[in-house]
Amino acid sequence: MKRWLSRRKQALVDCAPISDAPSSDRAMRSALETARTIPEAAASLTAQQRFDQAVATLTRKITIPKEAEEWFVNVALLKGPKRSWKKTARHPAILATALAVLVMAGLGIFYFVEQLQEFPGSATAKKLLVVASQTRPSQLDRINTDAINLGDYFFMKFQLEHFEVPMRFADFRATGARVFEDEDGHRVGQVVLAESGVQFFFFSLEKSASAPPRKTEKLRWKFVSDGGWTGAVDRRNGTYFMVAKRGSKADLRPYLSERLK
Amino acid sequence: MTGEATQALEAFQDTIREAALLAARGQLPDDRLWSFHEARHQCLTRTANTLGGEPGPSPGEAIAPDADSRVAQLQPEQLAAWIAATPEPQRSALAFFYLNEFSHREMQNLLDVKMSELANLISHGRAQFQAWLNAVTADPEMT
Repeated sequence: MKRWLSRRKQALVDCAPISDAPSSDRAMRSALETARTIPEAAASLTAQQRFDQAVATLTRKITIPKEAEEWFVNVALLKGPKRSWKKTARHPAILATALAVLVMAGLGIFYFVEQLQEFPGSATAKKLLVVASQTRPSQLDRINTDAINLGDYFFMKFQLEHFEVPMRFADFRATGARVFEDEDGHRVGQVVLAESGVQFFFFSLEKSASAPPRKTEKLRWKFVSDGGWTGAVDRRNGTYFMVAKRGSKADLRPYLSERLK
Repeated sequence: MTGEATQALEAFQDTIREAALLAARGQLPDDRLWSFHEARHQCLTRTANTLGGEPGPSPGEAIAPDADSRVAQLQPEQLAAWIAATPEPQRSALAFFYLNEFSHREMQNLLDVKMSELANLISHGRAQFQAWLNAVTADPEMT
């Protein structure tokens, strides 16, 4: 089967570089490589390059008038204005590169900040915020006690250890509570307060809430948001305690700081 | 490009003057092809009347394997005269191509032509030059 060059490649071969040095242009290199694989095209290309080299050699022998040669001494004195850094910065290639770097840096910072917000219980905490937004009073056991008594309540009724409210929140009035299992089978304590739009959650990532606490307890009020609620999570004795409030982080932060004074 | 040394020198000098003028105003373009654009423009302006009615396209011939031997028989002035006698833009295309200083993209820029047009100009010029070469030089095998 007879092979031939495409019109585009033939056009490139017609302008093939005179020297044998490989072309810096990728399309030209490809066209020349293809031409060399077709016997007729290869023979034609060889004859063309020998012809062009002979003509180029003859061209170099065309004498330049002496008057013109003298002018060349002055040509070196002609210099264009130096490109300023502002002009360089406005070059499309520089702008595109800078934009790409900015986008990558932005993404990097975004993921870094996201990573800072993540902690072992963050996924569970987010799910519980959705639970908080959907809970009806009828789903809870009615209680009427100070939050400080909740530790005893959960232990006595559900044998759950360490489901205790920090002392800063001890004077809150609890009006409803329940214990349920989340998707992973972990038991979760939920408390609704007399104060509208605020709930407490207790949960552990261990299968048994009475498991011994981990040695590393460095978590200090991490924030999570979902379902129009925001939660501040802390961990004590292996159990996570979350204050959930309807609204954004901006609503919860001052509320929390009042309690932490 | 002009076929005449005096006109070529004038075109060259005017190109340098224009460059000096722009440099003095701080407006010299930061483009290495600028001087070639300008020199071509100067040459075309000067030869618009003198070389406008050059002979029409002559039939070309395929590049012969012994073409390089025939080219070697030529004087540089003969080659210059032949290129100067070809019509524009073929003349500029051949001049730029055989100066062997430009990539095909730069030649497209200088001549303001597409790749296919540039290839056509060079290819036809080559074939016509071969035909002329056959006519004016002796067969290397006979000599």
